[in-house]
Amino acid sequence: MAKWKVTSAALIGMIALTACSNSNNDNGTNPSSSPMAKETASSSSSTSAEAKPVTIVYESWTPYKEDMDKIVAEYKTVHPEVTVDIRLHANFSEYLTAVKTAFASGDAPDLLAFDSPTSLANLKDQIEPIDEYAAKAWGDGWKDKFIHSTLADVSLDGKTMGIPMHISPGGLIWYNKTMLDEYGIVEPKTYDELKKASDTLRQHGKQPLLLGAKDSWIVIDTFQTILNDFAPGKQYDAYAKKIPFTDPDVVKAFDFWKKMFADKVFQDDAFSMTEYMDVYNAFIDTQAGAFESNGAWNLDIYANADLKAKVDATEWGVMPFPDLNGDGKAPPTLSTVGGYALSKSGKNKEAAFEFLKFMTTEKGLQIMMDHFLATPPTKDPVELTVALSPNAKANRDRIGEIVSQTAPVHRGIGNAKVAEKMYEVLSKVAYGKMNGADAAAEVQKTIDSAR
Amino acid sequence: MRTRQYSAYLYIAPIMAFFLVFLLYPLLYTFRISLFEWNGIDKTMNYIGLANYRVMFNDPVFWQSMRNFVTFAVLVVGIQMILGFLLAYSMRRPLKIFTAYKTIIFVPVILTPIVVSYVFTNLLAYNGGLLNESLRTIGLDFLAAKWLGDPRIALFSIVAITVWAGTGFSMSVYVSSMTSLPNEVLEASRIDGASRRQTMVKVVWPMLRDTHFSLTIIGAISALKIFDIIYLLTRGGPVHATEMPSTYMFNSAFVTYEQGYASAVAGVMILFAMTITIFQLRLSRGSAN
Repeated sequence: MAKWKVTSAALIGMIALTACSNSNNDNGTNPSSSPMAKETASSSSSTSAEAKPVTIVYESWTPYKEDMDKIVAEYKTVHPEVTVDIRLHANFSEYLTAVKTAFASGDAPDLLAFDSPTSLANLKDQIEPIDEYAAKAWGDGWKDKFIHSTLADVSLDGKTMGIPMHISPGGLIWYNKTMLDEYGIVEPKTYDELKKASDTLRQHGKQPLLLGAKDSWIVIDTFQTILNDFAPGKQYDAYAKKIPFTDPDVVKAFDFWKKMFADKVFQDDAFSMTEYMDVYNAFIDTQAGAFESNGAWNLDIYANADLKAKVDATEWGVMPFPDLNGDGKAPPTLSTVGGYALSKSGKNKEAAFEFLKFMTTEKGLQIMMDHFLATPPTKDPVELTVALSPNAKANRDRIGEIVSQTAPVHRGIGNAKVAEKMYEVLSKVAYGKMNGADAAAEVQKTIDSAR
Repeated sequence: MRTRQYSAYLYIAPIMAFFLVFLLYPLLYTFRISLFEWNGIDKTMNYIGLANYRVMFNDPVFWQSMRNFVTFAVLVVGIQMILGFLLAYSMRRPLKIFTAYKTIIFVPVILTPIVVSYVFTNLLAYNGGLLNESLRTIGLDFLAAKWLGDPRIALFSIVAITVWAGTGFSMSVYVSSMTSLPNEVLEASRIDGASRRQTMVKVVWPMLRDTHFSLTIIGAISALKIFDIIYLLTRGGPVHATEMPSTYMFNSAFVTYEQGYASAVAGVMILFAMTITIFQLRLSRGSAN
């Protein structure tokens, strides 16, 4: 009898210990402990019929809804137990407002995205570094899977804060080649040629370089490109407080910005137009202007079903900014630094990372590349499965060529207050309410006051 | 007697609970946040006392937003009231054509700000906008302007759009108030030889005093709260020409990630709104007495 009692007690004890052990580890924070971990150790193509149902929340402004729906549908075929709740917002600012509220109210998504060093710096405390998850998924040498610069762009303090988005440089000029040909204009290589082209276009009732200056991001993109021509690398040193922002070369760039408005190189009333959709429509749809300051992501015009007829009927071109300071060299493009990240407060981190992996490096990457026509962040090439028109292919190749000729430099400003101040002074300079020296001094003051 | 006192508290308990939870608590919480440096996301908040208020009162953009608010409020409230009154008075007779006109004038009131801003963005575009193209067509090119892009004009364009969108409301309030005016007084004024203008200005206008006060309070508070149309049309620009306290607060909270600072702006806006309301109510009460 006593033997039976001892055996029973030992058995109950073992069961209890096992139960405690499971419940203690099942908090989703340890990549190797949750039941999902065993599942994720296998390839994402393996089915997991026995796994428990999981819901992952993905919140972002990108990619397009139709792409996201396709990605989720594809994922469902290999992981039927996973439901992906998509919260897609119309644009980045709406997304940021929503995601901030979500974090503050305890309704954080499992996966989120960031588009710039500014947003990464502000969301960093909510983001779980992916290093551990990535090493588990792809092995210790996982970083070799990605193009080094893309990982550097999404890293902070030695930690990888997300899986990089596709390579799509900013600081380019798109042009309507059909219109330029009509007026005998060739792709401008210098500022004087751009100015001459602008004058010719205006004489024919067309607008020259379109800039959606109501949006601060495109104003900053454009000015950063100008700055990189007049003062290569100096802005980054100034943000890092290594040199003053009032450096004479920086001031020259501000004065040149003023000159571009005085020379009417930009369209009339630029500060009343957003890049999306005012300028986008003026360039593609109504074709009111011949040039547009925008990034490589503008390649998605070829996937715009609503404007297909207009896009197909026109020959488009893309070029770097022309040489502005007369040194014979075009300014470098700006590397995009966006990434997809894992939320620190997400409840299903393992499952979320598995989905992220599928979305950003497997079938999902293919779907997104087919839409964005961009270069993937991974070293393995992604062959597009969509048929490109000769014009689309030519422009995609041209972007690759520009990137290889002028190595992209950092895009964006890490400190939000400095970025906001930059937009404010650029508006004032453009309206003739401030000179270059004062503008640089104002930015310097904000840099000084920033933590 | 004591039981009756308790039951009185019981009756007001639901509304008091509502007031405490949904009004007082958020107000106090906003004030608390305004004492911190906080980006609105992180769990850690850095206590900085009244520093946010000091920075705000030293920021010229804040004062510009307040000046813009005063200009906007005075113009919008004044023009809407006068136009609304004139429209209501001139269409006071029960004719079908007037009913149709009043309906048409009221339509903008029910339009959402996004529709209004979309319509006016296209109407007021410098190139291709209906207004400028019409002016150019009839040879008045010199009048074509950057309605939303010129810092000297943009605020007045916003005023005009807001008046267009809100005059129907003022008119409808005056219409309903006029129906309750005693006919005897109007008839007496006519018998006493008052002209139409004198009847309107010296009899009808003063008798609608309560309506004027209500519309002034509603208009002033609405002006303080206005955000959507401005954000959609100009985002407070160009060069802060249409910056309002609300857009200034939004930028602090969601563009530069300064939730504490934005809360300080919100606190000042709340105090401002309360001051306006108390001042106007006192004025209204004093005038009635």
